[in-house]
Amino acid sequence: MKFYQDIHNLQKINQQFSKLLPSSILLFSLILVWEAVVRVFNIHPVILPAPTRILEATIRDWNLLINNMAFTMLEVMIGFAIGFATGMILAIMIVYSPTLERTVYPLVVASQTIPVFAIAPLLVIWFGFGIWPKVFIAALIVFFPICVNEVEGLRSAEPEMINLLKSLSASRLKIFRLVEFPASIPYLLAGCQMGITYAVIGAVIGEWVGSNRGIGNLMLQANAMNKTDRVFASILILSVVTMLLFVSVSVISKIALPWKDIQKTQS
Amino acid sequence: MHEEILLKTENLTKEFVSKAGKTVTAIKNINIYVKRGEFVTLLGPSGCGKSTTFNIIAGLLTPTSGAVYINNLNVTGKTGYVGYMFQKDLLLPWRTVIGNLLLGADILDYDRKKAEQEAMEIIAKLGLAGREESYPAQLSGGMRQRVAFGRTLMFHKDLLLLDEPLGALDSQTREYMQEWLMQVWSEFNITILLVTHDLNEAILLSDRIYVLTKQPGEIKAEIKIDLPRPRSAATRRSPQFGEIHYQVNQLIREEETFEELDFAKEIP
Repeated sequence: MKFYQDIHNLQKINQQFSKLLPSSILLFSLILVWEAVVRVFNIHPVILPAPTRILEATIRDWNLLINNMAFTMLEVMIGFAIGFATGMILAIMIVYSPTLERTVYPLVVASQTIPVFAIAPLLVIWFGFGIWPKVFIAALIVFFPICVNEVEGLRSAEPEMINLLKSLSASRLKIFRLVEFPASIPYLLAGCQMGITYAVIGAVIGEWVGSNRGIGNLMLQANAMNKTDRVFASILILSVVTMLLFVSVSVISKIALPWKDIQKTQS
Repeated sequence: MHEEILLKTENLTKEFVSKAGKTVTAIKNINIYVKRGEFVTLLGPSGCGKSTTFNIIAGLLTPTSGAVYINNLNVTGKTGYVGYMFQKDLLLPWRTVIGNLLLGADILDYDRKKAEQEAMEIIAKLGLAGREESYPAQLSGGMRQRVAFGRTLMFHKDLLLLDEPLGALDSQTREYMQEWLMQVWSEFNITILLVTHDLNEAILLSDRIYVLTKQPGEIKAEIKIDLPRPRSAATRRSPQFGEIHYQVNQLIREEETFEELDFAKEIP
């Protein structure tokens, strides 16, 4: 039984790889074309460095890139934690308080139309050049999808299911713990997935507006010094890390919600 | 064994105020009783206030007037005295079969170890052995209802309220599940109050049937079903079954003809 499951899993992984194959081939071809174009037309590396040159720069500047990326990740992680916590708490309060639902919730939804990046310069004025304006932007970006998804998720519990628990004199806390919160987890993780990727962009933009460290800061400096290959190397690191974050949330979802996969394959 | 009165309702009446501000009487003067170990059915068309009656008995709704007694205790408007099972199976999709059966233990703080043991026994008795670790999405409709029923058993309440538990199943599964329900009822020695609009189901399963009228829901008749037990699939084809079916059907039809005539008048 277990053995069959392992084989089944292997097959699934295999399937996923074969799904990725066509797009990987396309990506690789594009990189080859890029390399060829740069070499054939002898394009100056300041305008457009060849992929091999970007790779070289990545290896050469590895420590610099990693150190700055780590700082940016620190901003993202603190911001994510704050955004996640406040989003969750407010969502729970909104679901349990009709007053907050009528007053606060419409504002939360409406505030999603404000481009957070546009207020980045203000944050530098208020909080200075340090870590906090970036943390704040990341937190703000994470807050919205977490809060809105969690509100929707907590409400997704079937009213009849709640009645069933009430008929057994279950406490409000039990209803939350056994039904409402578990029902909200898929929504919450979807919110995390959205939030974490945007949080990285938010932190980088925060660094562009004003900073002395971080991958965004490194990009600005490299730009000013005409080190275009370093700019590209930064972008490469940034994409890889963001992708890893995205994938790790997916993996967490798969582990935490084994029933969700089954539901999908059954329906 | 059938003498102790487990549930008694006294003149249950429930009025709702509609959006237009009109008072609508959902149920009126419902007087029913269920003895311990009995299988009793409320039979009626949709909109006869069956669910309202159930919600009042379960304590989820307070009646406008009247009272509910369980074990001679006035429990009007009080929850925690019955095991309620809905038409939807309401299984938690993130819990396995055994996890769903343990829901009652988690709500009511029963001993988890003991509950697990009991759950395994019930799973075997319900014909679900080997499916303990399956998720609800991996089960058929009939299986899911059996899990939901097992979960209701594990609430350990004296009275089970089953609100059209087989209503969502296809007719073949439904017939099979009726026989199954009859079997577990005698096997687990439980008391069941069932709501259904399926006459065959009501006759096959019940000791007594209360026939309800449509809006406001009132008890129109109480019918004792004298078919010998144990009953089986063959009971459906016995002459007595046909006779009872005919009689109860007449009663229900009176109700429907009345409405049809009313409706006919409105057609120019």
